[in-house]
Amino acid sequence: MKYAISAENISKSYRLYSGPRAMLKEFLFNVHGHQLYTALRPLSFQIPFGEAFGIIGNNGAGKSTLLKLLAGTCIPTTGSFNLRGRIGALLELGVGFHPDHTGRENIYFNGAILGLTREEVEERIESIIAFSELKEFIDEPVKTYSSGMYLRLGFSVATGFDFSILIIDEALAVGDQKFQKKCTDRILEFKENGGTILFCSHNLHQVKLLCENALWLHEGKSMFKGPARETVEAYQSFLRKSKDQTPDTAGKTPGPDRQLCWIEKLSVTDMDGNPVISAKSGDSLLVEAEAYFSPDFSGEPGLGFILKRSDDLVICSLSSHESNTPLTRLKNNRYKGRLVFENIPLMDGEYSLTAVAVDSYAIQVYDLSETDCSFTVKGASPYPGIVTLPHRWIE
Amino acid sequence: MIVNILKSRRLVSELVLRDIRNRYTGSVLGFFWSVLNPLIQLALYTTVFSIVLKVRIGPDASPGLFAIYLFCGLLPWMAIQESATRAANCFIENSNIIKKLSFPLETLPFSMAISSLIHQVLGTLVFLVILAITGNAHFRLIIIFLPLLFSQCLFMYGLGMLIASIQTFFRDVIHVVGVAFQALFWATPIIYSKDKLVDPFTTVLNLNPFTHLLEAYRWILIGDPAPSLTGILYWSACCVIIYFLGGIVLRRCKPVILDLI
Repeated sequence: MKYAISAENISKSYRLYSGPRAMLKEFLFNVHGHQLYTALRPLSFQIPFGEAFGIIGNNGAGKSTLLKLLAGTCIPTTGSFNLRGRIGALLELGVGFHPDHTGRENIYFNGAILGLTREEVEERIESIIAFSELKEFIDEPVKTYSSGMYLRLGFSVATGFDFSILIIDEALAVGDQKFQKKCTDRILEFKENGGTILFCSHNLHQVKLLCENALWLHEGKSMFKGPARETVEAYQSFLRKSKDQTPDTAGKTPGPDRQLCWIEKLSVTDMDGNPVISAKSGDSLLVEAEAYFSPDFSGEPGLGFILKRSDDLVICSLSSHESNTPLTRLKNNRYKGRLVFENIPLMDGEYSLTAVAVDSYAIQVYDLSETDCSFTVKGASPYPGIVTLPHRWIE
Repeated sequence: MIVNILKSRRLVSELVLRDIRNRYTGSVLGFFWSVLNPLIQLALYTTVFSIVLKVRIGPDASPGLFAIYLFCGLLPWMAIQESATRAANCFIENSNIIKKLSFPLETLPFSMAISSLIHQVLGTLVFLVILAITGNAHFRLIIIFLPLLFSQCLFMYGLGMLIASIQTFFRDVIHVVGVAFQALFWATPIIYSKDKLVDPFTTVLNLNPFTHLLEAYRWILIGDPAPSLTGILYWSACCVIIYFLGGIVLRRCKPVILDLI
């Protein structure tokens, strides 16, 4: 099988010198004078023709380094790669525009850098100008352009020639909303026509929508490679976990008074009573908890449930008091509360459920269940969000 | 090196065009300055050396002859000096495009060399017109002008690659180049004639490759005695060596240059 992009063990490390003197010393006398900084560890991947491939990860993960390597603006320390086709790179828009020259002159110059002949540029220049919506300004010096006009021209030039591979760093769309729509349409059209896209973005939603496969880089290392949705999911759950390690775990220490009451059991099952680890959006879940309330507990015993996303975002809190449902009394001062979440409208993510023992006002929380019941949900749509609220479209 | 240049000749022509355009953006006379400049210089040299200082060259020289002699050497000299000085920063100045767009780096020093040569040719054309008017023209050998220009291009291109590569690592290079060219100016028979000097100095002049280049230009343009064959061979060898040296250094340094700028 032939690939549009194939990379074999490419890596990039930089030598950092304290200054030109250290560099000269090392060069002349072979005195070791640099620190090695590895921006990208050896990495191999293949991208078939016509596929969009996403690259995600934190800042400094090596995403841009990888794009630069493939775009040819820096040279890998090890490994090799192969790109089949004409490459257009949207690493930064409007690069190489000379402020004193007109938009048209700059288009010709950009075309020349891309290695196009004058005829090839002439063939496309009218469509590029039309796309940029610059009209008569195209013959004015670029320095007179507004920043929006500049970006529009940059985008038009960067996508305006016959490329078969596009390398995009963040800038999927620029300008006002109307122009952004045009940009997105152009990228999608490019993809539909069989173009291969390498897309690096912090916008995970776009990566999920646009890309078939994706790569998650962390500190120069490949952490996950696979279908875009799974990669994004893996990255997101990593993000949430790393947030959990921040010091706000203080809330989890068992503070409440455990003399009076405590949670003994908590389970999340499907309607047939089978434990649920993963669910689909639209499934129904049965939640059950048992708690002990001592005879000294004054007032009506109550139970509450808190549904959270794994980054501790509370999605909803419910209590038996609020809905005026008394708990089922079992023997030995045990009480049981049951609740059904019908057709959960949750979107993609990891969720957890906590049970709490409360009094009738639900002001005082007496106990939190020690272990959360967590489960993942596979959303029905790839759009961002937590829940799909009940809604209908109106014609 | 030359293959890459041929492949990206479109880019080179755009770079040269852009460079020439840059010089004259916002000026009223525009490209006319390229013609005006050598004219004014020639007028100045004639006034200072031939009228004020009364420097004469040869036994039966007319007042204008020294200025012509001087100008003939000055044209190629200025082109070489200019291209070397400007090539020094060509990677650094264009770092924005080098970092974001992929294209052969050698096109930058090459276009600097071409742009300097274009100005030299324009100056020479003006010069030839003046020679024709004053009756000093020797157009028989003008065909040799092209190979000379080519050798000079090779030299300037190689030197440009060399200087630009090292300048990326050590910004001292541009200062070294400035000082070196000042010293070379006096070690090259530009405002004096070689035959007025005695032995140790003539040896120095003969070791300086530019001496032979200027002699060749004076031979074909103003009818000076022909340069020695060894001199011409020496100059040609220097061109080829500098060209390959520059090319090799640039190729070896390219990955690091991309990281450093």
